[in-house]
Amino acid sequence: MAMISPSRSAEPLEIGADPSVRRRQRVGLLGQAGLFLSLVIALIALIVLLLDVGSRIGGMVVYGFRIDPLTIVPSIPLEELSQEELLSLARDNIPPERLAELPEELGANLEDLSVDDLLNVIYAEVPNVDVLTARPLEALSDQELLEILSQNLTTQRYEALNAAQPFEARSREDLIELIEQEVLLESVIKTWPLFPSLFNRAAIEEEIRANYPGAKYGFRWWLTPEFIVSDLTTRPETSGLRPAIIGSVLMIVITILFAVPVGIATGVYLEEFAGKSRFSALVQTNIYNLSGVPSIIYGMLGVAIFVRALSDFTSGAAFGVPDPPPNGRTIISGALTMGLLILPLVIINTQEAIRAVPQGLRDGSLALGATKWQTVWHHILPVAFPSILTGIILGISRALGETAPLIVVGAAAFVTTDPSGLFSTFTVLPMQIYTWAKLPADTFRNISAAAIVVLLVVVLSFNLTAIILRNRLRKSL
Amino acid sequence: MATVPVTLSSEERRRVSLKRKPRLGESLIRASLVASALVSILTTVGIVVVLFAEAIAFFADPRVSLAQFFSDTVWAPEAGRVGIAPLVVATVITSVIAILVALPLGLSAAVFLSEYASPRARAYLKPILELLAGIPTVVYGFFAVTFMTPLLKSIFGEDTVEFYNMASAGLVMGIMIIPIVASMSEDALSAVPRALREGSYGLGATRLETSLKVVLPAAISGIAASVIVGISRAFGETMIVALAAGAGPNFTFNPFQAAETMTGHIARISSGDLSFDLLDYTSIFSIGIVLFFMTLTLNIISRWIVQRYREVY
Repeated sequence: MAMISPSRSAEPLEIGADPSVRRRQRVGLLGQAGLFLSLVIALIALIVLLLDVGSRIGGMVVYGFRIDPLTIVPSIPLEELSQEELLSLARDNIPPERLAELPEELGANLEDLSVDDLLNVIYAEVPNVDVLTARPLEALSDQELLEILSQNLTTQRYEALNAAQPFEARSREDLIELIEQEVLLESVIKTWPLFPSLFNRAAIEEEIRANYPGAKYGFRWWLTPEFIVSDLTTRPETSGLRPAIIGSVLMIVITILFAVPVGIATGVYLEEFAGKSRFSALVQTNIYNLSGVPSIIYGMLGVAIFVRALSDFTSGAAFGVPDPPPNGRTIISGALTMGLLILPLVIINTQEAIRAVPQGLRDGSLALGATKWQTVWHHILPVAFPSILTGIILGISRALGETAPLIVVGAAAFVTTDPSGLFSTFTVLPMQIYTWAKLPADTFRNISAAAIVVLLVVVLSFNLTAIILRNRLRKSL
Repeated sequence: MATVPVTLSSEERRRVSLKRKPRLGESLIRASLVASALVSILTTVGIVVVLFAEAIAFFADPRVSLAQFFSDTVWAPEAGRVGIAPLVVATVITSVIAILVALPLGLSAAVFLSEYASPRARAYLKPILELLAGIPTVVYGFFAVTFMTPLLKSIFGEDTVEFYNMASAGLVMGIMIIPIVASMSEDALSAVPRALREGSYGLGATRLETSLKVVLPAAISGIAASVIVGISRAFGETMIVALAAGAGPNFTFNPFQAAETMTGHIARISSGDLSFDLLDYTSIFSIGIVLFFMTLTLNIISRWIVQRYREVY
């Protein structure tokens, strides 16, 4: 509404009448550029933020094993080795100074010793004798690979893997990979950001070969379909997001079921029924104040009321749910808290939507003898609905990204199972992002970034829908 | 409702009138609408009651005194030291940094959008701010830790800037608040009557002079309100400070040092399965009550300013 045509105002007809005019115009241009710069900075901030997240969803990585492979593979007993092999083993593994002293101590050269004496020398002088003759996994027979798996995995895990695909039916490569993943806990020991990894791969590979000789390395995407559908685990290499996604979806559904009817009803009441009563003024002021209350305060309300005071209901104990959690730190508590949080948003948007409905519609309906509610239900709400929907979408997007209240209400930081219903402990997407971002290891930041991408795609597409919807409405009105 | 222009006797009118007809469904619906409106009232009541009840339980503990709450500079409830000062100071420092970023940027953006941009340009520029406003705060927190802190470290030196620091959290919080300041200020600027601008142009002022010396002063109350709301939002913001500002209360005025804010402390203490019997549990409500009244006061002031200024035009 404040658009003033530049041709009339900004440029005086005659330049030069006053010497200060040129200067003032220059200042004006500079000022305009300065004002525009603020938007450029905002845009840059947005881009840098997205790049910062994006640069962590993939990149070069170096793998290492948390468990030394040599400690788990079966070794050949020294006694089975020939004298030749024992000799070279002794020469390779005894420190050179010691090797020089030995003939004097023993009174004979190593070559002249009997097999038994040589064995004794090796046992006495070589540290970690067990692992000396260990062979790489690739050299083992299938039978030995299976043995490693059965000895080093928990029975539970072994059964689970076997159930997924019988070990006997698996290929050799598959077995070796299983051992590396499950037994040796193959993990990423160093990561590089995405963009250098894509465009400067050769230099990074060189660096890896220099610093981590012999290590396995490669390009790895952290944001993968498996990441989205896998279980949460404590290891960033294997952890997925599924329980958090299901938690978010379940929580949002309950939040909507609670906040949308209550919010629309309140908005309708304030605009159509309440008139200018004291009560409506009180509710109105109250709603504006609630919309400014920090979200973490809602969390404190939630923990004191839903989690603690109403724990019988929110843990499901009152409804005879078998094996209820000890307190109300459940999905339903989180969802109700979130519902209260977005309620002011839904109410205010509903009110604005209803206010935009032309008065003639009301008058027409009432004049034909409709009751107030019939007017609201058949005429006002349908017309206001798209605009109300915009508010609901913004509310959902807010609730999806909000973390602070759920920390207080007690979304668990670590849940391995999918939430099973209203009364189960839960985690949500932003909670998982927070938990991972807090950990110092680079790999956790990688999966945190991957989770952020998932969250941003959902939240921003909700916001975009709302923006588009609103712009369409503006045009049609 | 319009009355029908037919003369009826009072007896007839009584019979014809539907006004007194009992409508059960209608009153039921009305009752349920009132009940819904009550939910929001009950939320406020709930917040106040819960905060006060638990805070009273906190101050009833023999280890805690109200005088110490406002005078001590150490916050360690389980050790019997409960001075809220370090948390409040950190909150204020991060918020001041945030508003120092958000005010100039947000206000310039508002002036540009309201006074300079064509409707077409606005259609492309506004989504920048709307996208910034739509990003969840936990993502900003991640950004603060993974980008802003290393950036500050590389500018001011590895040793000057701690891993957790208030400056990083404050700067990123400033970016987060830009859209709030911008959109509220823009509303205020757009509400300034066109006549004021025309008058200014008529006197030969350039567009910048008109914007800064006529429109801006005329909208100053609305802009002040936007700043106050921005500060209040910064006070209450949790995730950025929880991730970037610090992992323990620390009484310091150095923005490059780590210090936990009120919200950050509440978040850290209550993450996990906090036992309801601990002093830690009730202590977060004493912080909550201070936070609640700080933000409430700011919001009421800003609404009061907005309403006053609306009466002018």
